[in-house]
Amino acid sequence: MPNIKLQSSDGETFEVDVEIAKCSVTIKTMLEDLGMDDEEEEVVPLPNVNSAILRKVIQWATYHKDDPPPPEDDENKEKRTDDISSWDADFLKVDQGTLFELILAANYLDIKGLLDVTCKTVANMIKGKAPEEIRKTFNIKNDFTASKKSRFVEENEWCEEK
Amino acid sequence: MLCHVSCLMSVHHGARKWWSQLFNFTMYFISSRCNINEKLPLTINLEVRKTCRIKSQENIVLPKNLGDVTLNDFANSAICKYRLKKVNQQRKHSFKKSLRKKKSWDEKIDDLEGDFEEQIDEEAKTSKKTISNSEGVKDGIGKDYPIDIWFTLSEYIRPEDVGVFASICKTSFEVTCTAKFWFSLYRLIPPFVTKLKSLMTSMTEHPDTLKRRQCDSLWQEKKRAHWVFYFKMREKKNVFLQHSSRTDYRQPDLLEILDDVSANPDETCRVLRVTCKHFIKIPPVIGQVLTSVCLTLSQGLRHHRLQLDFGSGLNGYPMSSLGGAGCNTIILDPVINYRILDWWHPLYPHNHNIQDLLSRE
Repeated sequence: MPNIKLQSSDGETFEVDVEIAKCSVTIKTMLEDLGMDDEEEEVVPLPNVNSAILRKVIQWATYHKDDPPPPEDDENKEKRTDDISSWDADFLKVDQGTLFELILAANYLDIKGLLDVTCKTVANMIKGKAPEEIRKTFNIKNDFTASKKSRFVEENEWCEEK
Repeated sequence: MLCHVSCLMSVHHGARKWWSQLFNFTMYFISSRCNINEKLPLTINLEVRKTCRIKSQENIVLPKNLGDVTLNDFANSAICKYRLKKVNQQRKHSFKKSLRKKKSWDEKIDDLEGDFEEQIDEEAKTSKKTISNSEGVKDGIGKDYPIDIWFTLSEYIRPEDVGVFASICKTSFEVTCTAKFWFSLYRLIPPFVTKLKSLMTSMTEHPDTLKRRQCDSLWQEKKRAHWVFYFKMREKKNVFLQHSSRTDYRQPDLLEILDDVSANPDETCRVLRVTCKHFIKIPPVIGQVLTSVCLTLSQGLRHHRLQLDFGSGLNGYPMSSLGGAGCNTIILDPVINYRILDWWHPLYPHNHNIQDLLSRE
């Protein structure tokens, strides 16, 4: 199988099967647009993904390489968040910072399956938690002022459970 | 945008019973949440909203009869009774700043790169200045995640979690202020309405709670063998003050609503929905205040009898009991069912609201 070299933001190079790399629509389009031949020893730079995250992404893509293409989203349906496979659930047992970085990487590389599963994991972690708890869990900076807070409480009153 | 909405609606063949609610919510979201500049970047939207706020402040400051001023009123007047209030320095400064900022759309788009961060910095500085009415930045520690993450995550947030999501951080809050967010939320509305319905069926509130509210509009519909009467009641904060100062409460027009992503013309409204067995002629009570409500059992003890007294609301007593003119009493009998609906209730008749706005235009 032909391989391709992916270079992370910190300069590490990963040799990956082209078919696995093509899980990423960004890489796939790049290869098609640039007309890179499979034999060529070109390196694809990925300046937005560091080596630790790229390694995880490759691990995920390798496991899911034979999956059928993900179905188109039904925009009129609420997205389910309880259909995460056990492998994915184990794979995503990482620290919260890595989880957020995986979302960013999946978004940049346009890997729908990975984006879906990471967002679902975070959405599940948000469910039923108070904002303060969420901030603590994900180490998010609280940059709110009281006036802003009261504004959104007022604006979102309609959807609060009474 | 409308094409987008109609496309979305056309997919709903299988869910005909949601049509009316979907329409209501669509129109509501378009009117209250949809910014006409939805495709424009956040920077520009923020600026447009700031300008809108300043515009509305202007409306408050300037007298209504500005066109009727005479030389005697001002330059030749012995008493300075018509002098305009001094706009405080800060507001004047911010207004000047916004005027300076007014550029053509092209220039704004050119300025976009890197401008957002600058604006956030500015906002942070302003919030530091107004520390007295803010609790300040509580936690200085922690990470600042990029807006892309919040945008992506927002698609997975259930409607009932919107409040929590918006209160995580400033960036997540900004995401909930965008038209894109409300459009994707709109797509989740049918299942959300189902959930809300099951939660709200047991709630019955006494119509007494609508007392001292002003009748904004009323209409009726024939539904199968029954007649449904709707009374849209707007909160009237201080009747005496309103009459004495003659500053009439102005409802925002359609353009203003479309311009402001958070505008909601029904914010202070509740609708009393009464289902009756027969048609009952309703006297003209629009603009009058509900002074008393009497809910008793109807003859035959199977249904209710609802008596609504409307008056000027100045006395605080029903004028009918004093035999005063200008009061109206509505007796709805037999009443099969009644509901009080807040503007965010899935059954709230928003479509009528939009028709009303369009006819006013």
